[in-house]
Amino acid sequence: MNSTPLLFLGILIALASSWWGVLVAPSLQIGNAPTVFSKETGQHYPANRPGLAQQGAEIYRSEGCNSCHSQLVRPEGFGNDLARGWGKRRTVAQDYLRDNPVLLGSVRIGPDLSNIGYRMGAGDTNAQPVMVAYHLKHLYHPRTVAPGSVMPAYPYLFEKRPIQGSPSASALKLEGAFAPPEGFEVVPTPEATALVAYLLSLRSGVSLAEAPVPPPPTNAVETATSSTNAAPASAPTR
Amino acid sequence: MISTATPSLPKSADIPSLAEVDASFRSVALFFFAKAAFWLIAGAFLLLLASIKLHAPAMMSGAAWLTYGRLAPAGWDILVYGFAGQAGFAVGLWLLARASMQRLQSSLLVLAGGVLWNVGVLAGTIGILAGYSTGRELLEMPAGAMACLVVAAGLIGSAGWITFAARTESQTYPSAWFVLLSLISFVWFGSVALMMYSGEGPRGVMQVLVQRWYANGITSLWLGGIAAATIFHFLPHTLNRPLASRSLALIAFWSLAFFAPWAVTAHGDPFPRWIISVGIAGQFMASIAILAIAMNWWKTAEGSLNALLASPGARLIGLAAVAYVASGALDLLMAFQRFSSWTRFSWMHQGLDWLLVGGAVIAGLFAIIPDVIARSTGQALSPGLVRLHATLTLVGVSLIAVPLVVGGGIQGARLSDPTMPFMDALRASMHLVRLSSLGLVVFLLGQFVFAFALFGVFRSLVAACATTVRTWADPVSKNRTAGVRS
Repeated sequence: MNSTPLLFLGILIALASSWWGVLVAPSLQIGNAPTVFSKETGQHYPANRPGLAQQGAEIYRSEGCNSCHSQLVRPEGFGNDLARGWGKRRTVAQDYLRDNPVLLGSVRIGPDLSNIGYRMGAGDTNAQPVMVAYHLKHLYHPRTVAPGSVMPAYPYLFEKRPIQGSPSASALKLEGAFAPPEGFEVVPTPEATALVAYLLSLRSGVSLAEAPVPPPPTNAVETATSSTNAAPASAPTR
Repeated sequence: MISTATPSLPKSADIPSLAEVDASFRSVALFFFAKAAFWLIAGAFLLLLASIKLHAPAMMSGAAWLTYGRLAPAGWDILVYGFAGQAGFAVGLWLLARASMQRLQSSLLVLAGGVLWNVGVLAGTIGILAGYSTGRELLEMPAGAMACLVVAAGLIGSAGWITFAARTESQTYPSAWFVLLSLISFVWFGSVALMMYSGEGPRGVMQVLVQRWYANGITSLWLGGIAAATIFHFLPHTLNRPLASRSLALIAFWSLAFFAPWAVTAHGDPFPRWIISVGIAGQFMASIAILAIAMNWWKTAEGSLNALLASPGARLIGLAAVAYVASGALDLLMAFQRFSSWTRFSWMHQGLDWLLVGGAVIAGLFAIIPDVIARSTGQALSPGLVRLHATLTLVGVSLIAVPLVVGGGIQGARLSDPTMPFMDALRASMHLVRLSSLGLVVFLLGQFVFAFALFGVFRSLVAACATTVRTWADPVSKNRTAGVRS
């Protein structure tokens, strides 16, 4: 410890070893992982997000949504994210291949958003406009749809303007204390629309070899079998 | 190329006295501590605003820069880079110079680094508040600002190593090792992370690994290293007895340097299993360091714990030592699957951050800062204000960290029942979060007291300077001086 160059070299070796073990070695395995073909959807997974959703991802990043929301469904036995209905299966490395930046988050002051894209509409295609309206109202003032929520309001992603002629089709349907004054309407800015498009694009429900989706309980007999066979503990892993 | 011999020691005429070592820090101490005090108030204020918004979410929602998702990371980054890092550099260099019995070498490099560092923090903060955050925890500042920080840390760090290489003391001390480790760490983790993110950057979850490697590395080695150094210096110093075991400190040092940067993963992460296992194993190995450090400090202080209540500085160092060991113990607990499933993503995460950064680093630094200022400038901070500041910091940090850790436990316990709605579990812990907001108010008040005390030092320095100028400009006294000289 009395030789300056030796001490310097020792520290450098110590620090470099972690770089090799934690970053270089994993990147050899997952750094160039390809997308996989899903028979279920007939497409490669994960697909690129549509342009509007990609713009929304930028808003998500810049507003710091990941300060309160995670995007990570842990497997069975590691907390009850699955039992809470936050996903059909755990999330794995494959799910994040197209995200940049990947925003896993480390705190949950709000719920996990990995599958917010289908969680509220249950896959019903007619539900899309309903979900868009829900998320817009939620962003404008969370307490309009979730009383007692601690989420900040984002009125600056909306425009409150006088109604000219007939009301705009995109105006939010607000009631009570949250409604704008008479003759005014609240319409989403392009940022709010993009952010909602991003939220609705958050879905990691495609069955993967390393994280299969348990079959849905459509039939009582099948359910009984599948709940034993496809329990995540016995799920095949690579 | 590598010399194993002890460097040839200079002749006794070249060995500076402690007073000369201290005096070489005058401008560095004034510059770094004044900026750090400013940033600490700014950071604590932004964090207080963010914390209040958790209780009144609709408040101040008209402006984008006031949203929680921008305020919280900006406030925390200011605390880490603006205060802890900056004051940590100055205190670290001071400890290093004293342990080496050498004046601070290349102080111009340090001052240039200091200017660049503050430019980086300012640009980074504006970037985050204006919506240009990268979204990566502790790396939120835009790449340009981060690059400023890395270059600045390189300048400051090289001055530290140059000073160490020119030491006149043959024995090296544990506090000096930890400072040297800390000085390299930021440059290493920062520059590698920046390089890895440049261009197309890593794909998918590799981005998360790079971010976690950086964040874990700088908290455990850069900030944790400075915290350990301050405690290794102050504990024997204030108790007036030698450190219990140098070899235990050596084990702690190398196990921290080798293993702590591996602890980057947590149970349930979306990585291949082996990567998670490597990170968890790293966490277990790193706890060897924490255990060795804790044993060493305990054996040093055993039997004279009362002395740790005697002065404001001793009280702060006591808090720092407890917080350092407690945060290491909580980190180790997190490596157990059951504890992690229960508390991960809860308030405990923030509680843990506050334990290390607020408790170990900030409290540890403040135990030494008044001493550095007094010895390097010859002007002491007002003792009353120092005592008040230490009490407010101690109460503030404890009121922030403990409720967050306990609140996280409650939140996690509630969430372990899958039928308990998420919001209800959150609400069950909100009263403790309110308590931590109160802690932030106390902490912020304390920092105003410190800024005021520091202002007092500047005022007396300016007054002393003005007296010198007046004496010089006054023809009568000038003649008198000339007369004396002739």
